[in-house]
Parts: sequence; C-alpha cells; structure tokens
Amino acid sequence: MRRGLRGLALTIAAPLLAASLLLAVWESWVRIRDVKNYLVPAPSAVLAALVDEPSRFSAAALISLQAALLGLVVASVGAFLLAMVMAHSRILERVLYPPALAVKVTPIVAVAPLFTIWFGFGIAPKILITAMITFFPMLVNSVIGLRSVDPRALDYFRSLDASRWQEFWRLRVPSSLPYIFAGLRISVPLALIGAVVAEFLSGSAGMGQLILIANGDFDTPTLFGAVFVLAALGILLTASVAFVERKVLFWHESSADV
Amino acid sequence: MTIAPKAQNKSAIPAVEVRGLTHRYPVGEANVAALCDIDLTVEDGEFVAVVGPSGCGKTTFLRIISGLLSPTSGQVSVLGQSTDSARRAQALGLVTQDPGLLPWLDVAANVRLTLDLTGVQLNAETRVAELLERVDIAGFRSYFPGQLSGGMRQRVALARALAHHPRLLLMDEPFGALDEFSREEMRLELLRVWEQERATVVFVTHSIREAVLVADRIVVMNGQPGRVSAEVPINLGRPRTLSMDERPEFQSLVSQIRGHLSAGVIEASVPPVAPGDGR
Repeated sequence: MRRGLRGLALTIAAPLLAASLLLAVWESWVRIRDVKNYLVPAPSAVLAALVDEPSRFSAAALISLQAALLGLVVASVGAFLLAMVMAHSRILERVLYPPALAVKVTPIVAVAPLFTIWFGFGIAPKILITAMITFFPMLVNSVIGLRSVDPRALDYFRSLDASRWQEFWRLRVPSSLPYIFAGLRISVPLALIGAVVAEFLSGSAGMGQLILIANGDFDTPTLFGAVFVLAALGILLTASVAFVERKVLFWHESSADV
Repeated sequence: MTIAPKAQNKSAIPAVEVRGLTHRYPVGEANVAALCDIDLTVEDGEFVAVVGPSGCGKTTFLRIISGLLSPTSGQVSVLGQSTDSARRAQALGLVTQDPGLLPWLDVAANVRLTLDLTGVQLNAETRVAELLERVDIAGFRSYFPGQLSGGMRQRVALARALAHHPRLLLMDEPFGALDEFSREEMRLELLRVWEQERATVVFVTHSIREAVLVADRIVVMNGQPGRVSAEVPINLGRPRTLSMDERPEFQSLVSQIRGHLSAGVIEASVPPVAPGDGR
C-alpha cells in the first residue's frame, strides 16, 4: 500500500506541481511585462474564457469527440477486416498495400474540401477524414498482429487439426491484441486531430469551428482555452485506452509491473 | 503390474512405421539434407526415445511424424494411415520444449482448449479436473502460464496434449529447458501419467540418461543429415525409479549408447564435410 500511495503521489502530484509552477511563471510574466491579451493571454484570462461560457466549449468538444470516435471505429473495423484478408495471403497483401498507402500519404487538407462538397457540413465528412488518418496505423498493426502467432501454439492447433475458424478466433485474434492496442494508442490522438482539422477546413460545428471563429475575432483567450480543452481530451482518451489495455492484456509482457 | 497393462491393448498395426524417409529443405540456392534414409517401427503402446546431438534432424523427424511437415521422399504411416489422416483423426498429442501455451488462458482453460478443438464436449470439465489432478497441478487451475515455473508449464502442456486421449504422444525435448531438479521430477511424472493414460510415445531428447530412464527402446540418431545408427532395447523393467541409474545395467546401457553416438559422429564427419564445418 505504501508503494501504491507513493506511486499515486508521483503520478498525480508531481505533474500537477510542475503544471502549477509553469502556470504561475506564465501568469507573472504576462503581468510584469504587460503582454497584450490578443498575443499571449494570462492563464487567468484563459480560465475566464473557459468558465464564462463553458457550454460553448463542452458542446463543441462533444461534437468533435463524437466524430473522432466514430471515425476511429470505422477505421479500426475496416482496417481489421482488410488485415484479415492481407494476413491470409501475401499476394493479396501486395495488391492491397499500395492503395492503403495512397490513402495514408494523401494530404487531408487536399481532400477535405472534396468531402465537404460530396457529403455536406454534417458529421459524415468528419468521420471520413478521421477514418482516413487513423486507418493506416490500425491496418499495419492489425496485419502484423494477426501474423505474430507463437509458432509452437500454431503447431499445437494444427496437430489437433483445428479449423481455420478456430485458429483465427482462438489464436490469431487474441495474439493480435497487443498490436491492435499499440495501433489504438497511435490512432486515438490522430482521430482527435482529424475531427478538428475537418471542422476547421469545412467550418462545420465542433472544436475546429470554435477555433476558426475565435481566430477571426482575435479572441486569443478562447483559442488558448480550445487548445487546453483539446489537450485534456487527448490525454483522457489516451489514458482510457491505456486503462482498457491493462485490463485486456493482463497476460502480456507490456502489462508487467517493472 | 509391470507388463500386463500394455499387453492387453496391443494392436497388430504399428503406431509409427517409417520406410526410407529422406528430407531436404532449401537453404538459399541449395537443398540441405536433414534426414537420410530412415527406417523405424514403433509398436503400439511402446515408449521409444530418439537420442541424438543437436542438429541431427530429430525435431524435423518428429514434425514429419506429426504430419506438420511433408517429407521429401519415403513412406511414413501413423496408426496404419498417412500422417495427415492421423492428424485429421486427432490421434496425436504434441509436447515441445517451449510448449506454446496460450498466455491469455488460465491453466484449466489451456487444457480445456484441446477438448474444444477436438470437439469433446461431454464431461469436459470432469476430464480437465482429472488431468490437472493427474499431472499434480490442480491447485493452480486458475493461474496463467506467465505465473508458472517452467516445470509447471510442462505439466500443463502434458495435460493439454493428453486431454483428448491421443493414441500417439510426440514429445520434442519436453524437459530440455528445465533445471536438473524439475527435469528429474518431470521424467517420473511423465512415466506415472503414461502408465495411466497409455499412449504410444515417441520422445526426442539429447540426454542419454533421460532416454534410458524413460524408454522401452532407444533409437540413436546422428550425423548431418541424420541417420539411425543404432536401436537399443532397454530392459530395465517398470515402474522406473530415479535410483535405477546407479545400477550397473543402467550404466552399461548409457555407455553403449554413448558409444553408438560417438561412432556415428566419427563416421559422419569423415566423408565430404568441408573443413571448418564445426557442426
């Protein structure tokens, strides 16, 4: 328990202390040097913007979060299905890899207006853009994961003449989970970026729009507020993935207490 | 008690019959021979140990018997059928040095998996409990492989390999990665379980003493490519005990087999082996 308390103190108190110190230095710097509000607002001004109209931020954040998560789900499911095919055959992998790579290297900024023309200002183009950004890491990790099977375990399955179906669900899928979670850790922050960029480019509702409008108004405290909200969201999402990962992958080396 | 149990079950069809087996595998441009012209018959219910140095093709040999690998040439039949149909009939149990237990399943679920994969649903839980009792690991049924010692993992692997009552148990250096104490313990454990489960066993090892202790007959393999250089019957009586290795007949069997091994090595290293080929 003592170790637990010390661990808690280290993981929560230490970063909190560092952050407070940073904010204090920032606040005093702005006050002493009398920095203009539209250039760099003091933390107190950012806080004022956040609490002044909190629903503005929370509503926008929820919209962005929804698009980010839906896009991530679409990408993960699509990537896993494609990975099943690619892990099954090297030839299909060679056929399917170039288009997957093409999606990955296409600049989002170039296709976002196109998606807006096709799908309007709703959630659909945002989901699509988010899915485009997160698809590739999920695909690569899923393919590697489905292939990374302990050869001895595979021998065991085959010595018992297990069906392909059993081999897939009872051996390959569980073996792939560490890789899929690694993919999720990369993709979750990307998903948030995807949603915000999509909103920013199309002007549809969400954190991206909030930033766009605040930018036009030289409302720098709101801009900073938006940045903080997004950072907090990103941390929250990443921590949630890590939490689920520890529960699911309790058996994997990555979860071992060192 | 020593001879009777196996005599009843004996069938005329040998468990394993190998004729003129040769296997080559590609390494770069060349085809390297791993096994050369092997003949071997394992009778039903027999416990045969294959002894040989590392790299003589023992593992390849076992994988061919298990139907996981097709030989380049020669006939191999298992229980009177092709290796592949014996595998399809789920007549095999396999234990390897690193058994490849599924780390996300606990001990009981790992053993249960064999029953699921072979379609045994009736009394599956009872069978799992019986097996865990038999390999003396019942107290660890909800542990995960990562929490077990190497010896305990091999107990699980043994239970898992025997769950569906295979007629042929193939073991590839099952205790090779264990420390000396667990190894001795596991040898006796294996023999005890074998008396109860009664499968034919082909047991690959590089330990002469281990082979003499467990087997009815020892097949000595050596050279590269691997050949069978001798077959030695072990008439030590059963049940075997650890103290048997102090007996003079045990000692003489060990030195006899060691003689076969070194004779084979000399013979194999004389012909066209390139200088500097340390293996």
